[in-house]
Amino acid sequence: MEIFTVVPGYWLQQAINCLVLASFYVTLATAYALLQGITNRIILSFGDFATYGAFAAVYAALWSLLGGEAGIAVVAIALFAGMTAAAALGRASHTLVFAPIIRGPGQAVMIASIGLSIVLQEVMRLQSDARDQWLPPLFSGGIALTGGVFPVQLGYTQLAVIATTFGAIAGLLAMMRYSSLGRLWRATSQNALLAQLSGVNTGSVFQWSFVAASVLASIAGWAIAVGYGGVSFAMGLVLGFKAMFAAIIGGFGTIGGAIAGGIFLAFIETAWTAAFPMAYRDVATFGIIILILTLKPEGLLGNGRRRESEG
Amino acid sequence: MKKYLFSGIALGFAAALSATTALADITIGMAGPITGQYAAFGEQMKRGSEMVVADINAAGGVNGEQLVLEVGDDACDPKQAVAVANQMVSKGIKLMAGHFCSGSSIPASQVYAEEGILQISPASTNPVFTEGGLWNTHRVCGRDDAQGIVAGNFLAKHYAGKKIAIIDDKSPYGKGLADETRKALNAAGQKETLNESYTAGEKDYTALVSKMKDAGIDAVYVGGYHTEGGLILRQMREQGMASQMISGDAFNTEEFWTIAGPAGEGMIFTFAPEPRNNPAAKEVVEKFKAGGYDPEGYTLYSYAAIQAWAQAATATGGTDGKKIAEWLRAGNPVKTVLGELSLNEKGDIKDAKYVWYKFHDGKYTEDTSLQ
Repeated sequence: MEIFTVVPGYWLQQAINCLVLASFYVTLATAYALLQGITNRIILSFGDFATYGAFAAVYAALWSLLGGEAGIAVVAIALFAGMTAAAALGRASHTLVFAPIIRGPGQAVMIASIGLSIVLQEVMRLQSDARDQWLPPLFSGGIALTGGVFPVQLGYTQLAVIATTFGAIAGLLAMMRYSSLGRLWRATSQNALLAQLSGVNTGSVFQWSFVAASVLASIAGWAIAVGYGGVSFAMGLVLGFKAMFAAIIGGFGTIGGAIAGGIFLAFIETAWTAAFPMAYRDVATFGIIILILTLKPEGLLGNGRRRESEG
Repeated sequence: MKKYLFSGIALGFAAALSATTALADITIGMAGPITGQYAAFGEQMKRGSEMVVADINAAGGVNGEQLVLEVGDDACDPKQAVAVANQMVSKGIKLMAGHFCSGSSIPASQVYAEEGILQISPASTNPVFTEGGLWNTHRVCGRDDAQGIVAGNFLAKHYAGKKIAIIDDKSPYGKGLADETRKALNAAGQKETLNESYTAGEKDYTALVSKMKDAGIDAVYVGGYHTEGGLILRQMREQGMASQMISGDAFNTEEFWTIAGPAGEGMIFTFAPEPRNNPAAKEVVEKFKAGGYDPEGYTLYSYAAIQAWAQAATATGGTDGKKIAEWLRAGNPVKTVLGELSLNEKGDIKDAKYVWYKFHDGKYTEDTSLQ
């Protein structure tokens, strides 16, 4: 009998854990999809854009704590600082690095993005003295959702992370559907050449998509800094790769696919740890990813359509 | 003309090289996590080594020759540790006072062994380091089999009949310590409720925390480092889990508190008796503090490792690695800031002791009430 009282609470708690983890993967995977969708090129740098945003967020938070701010104000200042810094970085890297080469071969774009990642990582390593930067807990505690044998807790920071990231994603989806910018993005994504012939300025679509993707990445970085309390210069690599896997298994180049893939990846990781020995988690996760790709190479929600721009 | 120019440059370089070797009489090395997530420990080692080299040089050096310290950074990565070891070999070091992580010390020790370089680790506690049968491996800290017995017996005594989780980070240090603790706990007649391994370097351990909460765990024993331990503890408290966290010597840095915050209150770990309280270290500790640094954790161990080697080099009248190893392993006592030490035939210190420490309000202190 006890099993039935214990299990629902446990799985509800694990579902919350999964949502927090998903919020990083989803935002980052969406950043990849935004650019992949219109350029068909893989730009790998977003893990490090997230780290960059996270550093800006941590420094802003530490600075505002010194200024006597507390709790929610610090978190908001950190978010704003991270987004601004990442937007500026995104704009600069678009103009200086990607705009000139984006129509070049896919390998050139990918290598340039890896180069940019390494540059960013090294700058952050030197700047942070190669140390992790930790924040003091900003607001501890949370809401007890249920009592009983397994009291389910939703931490305030978890709540802030989930609300902000999924709010940002919802905003992006609404923009994609209803705004003229979104329409231009969809037109470019379906057929870049035809869109251009019809008078769409695809260069400017690429530019604002790059800035939007950078801001999304910085939200993921902020969520890590605030949600877990620390940022390290090297964390972008693993994070960026995982988000890219999420985007690929979801269906590369579509925003819906990126969201589905992010949630799916977080789900496998959490569910495996919840039910089986955690030591084998990565073996299982990547095994499942490979299996999905062999069975359905275009991804879970991929449309399998070859784009004209693939050439 | 060009040829002469090149020869001139070459001669210039040769002169510069011989000038530096004339100045650098004996080069010794120290390697540890200067960068990366365990950099707090790298700093402890670096400060300890720099201070002891300065002190030895001020007192006339070793056999009349001055010491020069080379610092290597392995970031606690086994692959980087081997690269650093090769680099150190090319610099002609006579002693390696490192590395920090067992996972680094063990693979690097083979490089040093082949090149005739003596190694004294201030901090690597995994038994394999000195059980590998190499002639050159020594340490001035204890071993995890001793540490694990203390932790395992403590758990068996204070958590008899309660639920214990043993988790590790899959590293040679973390897993080694967790295994030894489990062995001692089981030998005392108690079985742990949950065994798990996590991946170091991640941020989200909430799924693991929920699992422990579901299992009704009373005490969590961590075989791992303070960064992940701090995160796990913080996430435990956020999920309303009040269990005691217990771990080993890799928690002896106040950086733990910056990660865990107030959640760190009451966390306990094992380490050797506080070296800063040792009368033999009084003068050196005061000197560190005058320089604005509190020599916590493994700082004094790094100091002692180089002190031990310097005395052995003086006694054997040279820097021959094998002779020094023989002398040290014969059990000859050396006077260090850790007190008088002597090593056994494996290169381990005799009578290593472990005691309990408790975190309170951002600091950790020895707690004699815990037995």
